[in-house]
Amino acid sequence: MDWELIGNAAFRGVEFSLAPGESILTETGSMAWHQGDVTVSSNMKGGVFSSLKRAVLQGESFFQNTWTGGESGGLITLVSGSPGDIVPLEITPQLPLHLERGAYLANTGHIATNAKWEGFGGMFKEGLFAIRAEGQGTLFFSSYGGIDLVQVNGSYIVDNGYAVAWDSTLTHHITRTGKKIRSFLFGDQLITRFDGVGRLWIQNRNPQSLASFLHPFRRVKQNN
Amino acid sequence: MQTNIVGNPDFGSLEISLDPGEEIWAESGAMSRMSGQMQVKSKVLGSLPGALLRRMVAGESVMVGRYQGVQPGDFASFSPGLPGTVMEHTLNGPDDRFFMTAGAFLACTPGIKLKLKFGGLRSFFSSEGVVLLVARGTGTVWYNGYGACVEKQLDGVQPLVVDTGHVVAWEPTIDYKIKGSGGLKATMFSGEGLTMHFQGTGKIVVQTRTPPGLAGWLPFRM
Amino acid sequence: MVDIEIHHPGVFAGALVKLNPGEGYFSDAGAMYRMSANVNSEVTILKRQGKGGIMGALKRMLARESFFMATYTTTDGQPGEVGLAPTHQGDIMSLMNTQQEQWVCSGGSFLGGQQGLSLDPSFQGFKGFFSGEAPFYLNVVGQGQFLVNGYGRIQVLDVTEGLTVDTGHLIAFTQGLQYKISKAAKGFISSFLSGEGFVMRFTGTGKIAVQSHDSGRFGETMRKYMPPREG
Repeated sequence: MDWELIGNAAFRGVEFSLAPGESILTETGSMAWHQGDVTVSSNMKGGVFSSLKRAVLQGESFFQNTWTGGESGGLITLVSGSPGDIVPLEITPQLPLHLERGAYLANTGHIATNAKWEGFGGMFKEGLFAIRAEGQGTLFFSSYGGIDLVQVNGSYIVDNGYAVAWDSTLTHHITRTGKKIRSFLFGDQLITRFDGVGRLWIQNRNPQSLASFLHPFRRVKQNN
Repeated sequence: MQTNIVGNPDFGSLEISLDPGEEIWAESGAMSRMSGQMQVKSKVLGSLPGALLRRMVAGESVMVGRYQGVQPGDFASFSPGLPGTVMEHTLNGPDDRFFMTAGAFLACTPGIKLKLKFGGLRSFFSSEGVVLLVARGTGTVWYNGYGACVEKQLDGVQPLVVDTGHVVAWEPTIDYKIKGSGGLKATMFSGEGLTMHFQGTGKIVVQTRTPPGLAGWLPFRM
Repeated sequence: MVDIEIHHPGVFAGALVKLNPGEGYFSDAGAMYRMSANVNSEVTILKRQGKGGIMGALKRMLARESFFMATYTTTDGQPGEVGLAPTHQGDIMSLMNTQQEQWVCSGGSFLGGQQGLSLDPSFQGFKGFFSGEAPFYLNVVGQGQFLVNGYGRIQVLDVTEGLTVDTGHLIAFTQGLQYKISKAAKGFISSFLSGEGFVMRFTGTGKIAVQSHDSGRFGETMRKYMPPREG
């Protein structure tokens, strides 16, 4: 399948050339423009309950879309909602990938995505919500910010909200900076420590920080 | 007047220098810095009746600043509200027009006429419909898109289907229809919103990000 | 001199601070996004010669810096690294605070600095409130290297003949410059949150660091697209 990254690293898109009968699976709402003979269908993969489960646990949209090339084929360009880059990654059965919720954009081939929920007791901030992508094909994931690729060999620490994807050979656990017992009162950070040998993709902007900045600009609900 | 577009495609801005007496009109709030002596007056452009204007373009300013050079070497920089690409389009007479989505307008040379128009299909799925800005006259218009922008030349044969939020500007030789993505059910469930189907010969500019796309992605907790 | 790598300069700049054993760096507590496992991050309220404490922290909060600062040092006698990232898209620039050039930073622009520097909030009085920006600026005190971030591209301008800067585009300026705040033009709509339409007219000699775009205007532009919130 032919595809091409378009735009620049901060506002990346990906254009697919779909031959007749060729399909890609995509995040809903990711289509920016298309030309030629392509059609979309929505999937409720695995029935209503698993779509619901996928939506709640992954933070993904309710459905995934399938775009398919028609008789004369066509082009379709996909983007994510956040400014940032797109990473195309070959997934093989030997090396599944763990991906943070919301980063999934599209895939070719046959890649199964399963929700894997790492809770943090639900007490303070949310834990790390990851999905596991395994199978064979090309996975496209997006970032908010620039992407740093770190080859972990031992341990590495990432603040919550910045880890985008990592090889399934890495384990991770959530911990805190600082040592004070009452440290939660002083805004100590929840951080994630990755251990093992493998690749770790880190984005350098935090969605939650942007949401907090924009919050005061939101209109106030009028209760009538 | 000397003009220069810098910073594309990430944080495009328009930099200008003016001779004494020369003027440029820019969206109010777009000026980032200017030489100390530059004169600024405000002016209202656009011609929708007041109530319609407020409803259609809530949050969208149709006020411009008239920036006039006083001393030789006077300069100013203008930036859009969103990061992305700044582009320019030349208009060659009272019948020459250019269409932009509201919000794409950044600046123009004096005398350009701007008119706001409702572009169609205020629907159940979109409370906004499509609001357009039509520029006409003789001179230059500077406009911006959110993110990297792609200029597509349509050949009159192959139509281009664009999610409405990704449309920036197009030439009047191109027609469009607004549709849902493929029927009521498809639009509701595919999460793909309204689309504009463009057909004709000429230039159309699309952008790789949209404000509603950003809003939908943001993890607001409440 | 602290060794710093700026990754993805321009749009999504991140600063990777390389720490040698014994070296320290500090930043807004929320700025750290990645670090090697041998770095200790200690969250404190930055003190300076007895000033600071709660009042200092409060003033810094109003200057849009967070309530807390974090200091970073290595724990095992080996080199380490700390990555610092701003909230917004945009660039990062390294500046030096010296006897001749003492910088004043607007709230939200200060990213981090080397151990030995400190921050002293200075109250801008009513001028600050009218501009819609925080009423405090941060004076950088001491000699050394620090980082500023901006929404957009960052430029440092040499000012000798006066310059007018929209308040939303100011990152920092050197002490010695004077300024007055006024409206850019009569009739411009101004909003408290974005401070649109207010400008600072600088006179004197010095340097001004500006950003190409304005995060307040970005927020205003996004307003109609975001879901309403509870009051």
